[in-house]
Amino acid sequence: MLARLKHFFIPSEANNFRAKIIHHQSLSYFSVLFLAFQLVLSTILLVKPAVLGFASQISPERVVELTNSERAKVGAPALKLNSFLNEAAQRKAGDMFAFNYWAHNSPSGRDPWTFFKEVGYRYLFAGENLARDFSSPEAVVSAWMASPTHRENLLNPKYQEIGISVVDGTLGGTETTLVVQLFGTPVSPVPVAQKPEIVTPEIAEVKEIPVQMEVEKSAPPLLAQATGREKTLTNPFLLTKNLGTSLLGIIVGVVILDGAIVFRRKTLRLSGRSLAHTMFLMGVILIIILSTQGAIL
Amino acid sequence: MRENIVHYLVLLVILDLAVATFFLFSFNKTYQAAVVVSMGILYVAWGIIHHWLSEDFHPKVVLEYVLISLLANLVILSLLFRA
Repeated sequence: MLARLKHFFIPSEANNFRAKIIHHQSLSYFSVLFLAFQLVLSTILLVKPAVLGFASQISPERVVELTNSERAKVGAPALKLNSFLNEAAQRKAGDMFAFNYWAHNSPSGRDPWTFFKEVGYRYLFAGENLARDFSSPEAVVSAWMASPTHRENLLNPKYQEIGISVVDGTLGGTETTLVVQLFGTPVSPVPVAQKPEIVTPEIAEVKEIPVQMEVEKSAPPLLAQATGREKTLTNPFLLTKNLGTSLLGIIVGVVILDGAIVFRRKTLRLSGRSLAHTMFLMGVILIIILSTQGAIL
Repeated sequence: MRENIVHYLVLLVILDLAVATFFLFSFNKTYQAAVVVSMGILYVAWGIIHHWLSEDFHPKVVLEYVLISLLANLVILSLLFRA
């Protein structure tokens, strides 16, 4: 058993003076096995979507708070939460889940502004940010702030009101948390006392009133309202991250050990440079460790 | 020896730039994927040039760089795809 382990980790005559784990054949096997693991994950997502996925508890109020905090830093006025925009955001999230898409425009051609009109929100300016699969409101707002176009939307001083929706659901076979953030500036003071669901004469008017729109083209993933479901999902992202880190961690460990032994024994062999492999793999591991889940649109 | 130090400094700069650029484009997964693929290609290119200049170039050595680069790309691209 010990001899077998040495064969894999320690360079010797038996393994041609190179740890078996970093032989060409072994590296090829690792790639094939990793690819197979990804295929199995994807198959599970298709066959049993409820087993794997991602869901989080993101408070819409916190997203608004963080958004206003970022706006305050650049002197932009704070946004007021508007129930019509909340309802529009909720409808947009529902539409994305119902028609299984992740985009600003639905496959049938419904753009973000359709939802503004549906709830009777007449706007002078409007914008949309989308996000999905983030673990916290801070991570969502940070991601938007890192993207020039989303940042511009988030800090736009022309906007006066905001609506947020955070919804859990299944998108593309994966359990997902979507966040929809809508911005708007009403044509005139919005009748907030009315329930968004109620179709009012104002709604009918909206379709006929020419409105000036300022549009952010990409919508961020929706953050779902907490649904109270059990969060017992196994996250494919974390599975991939942990497996990748472990695999490359073992390889870099063996490369260092192998390089140190060969250097000490002054073994002459034709192979790549252990120091170069170590530097490269450490860079890759750093990227993997610092990578976070979540996408914006 | 001094030549080797220069080679490794060049590699260090390539890797540093790649990692920094990867996180700079955190809002765009396509850009991030392009950075990762470029990092892998540059690593293989570095290996070829380094071994050529060190006069121990051999296709088997190049294959080693390609396999390590391929595995690294597989892991990061899978992660990007899953995120």
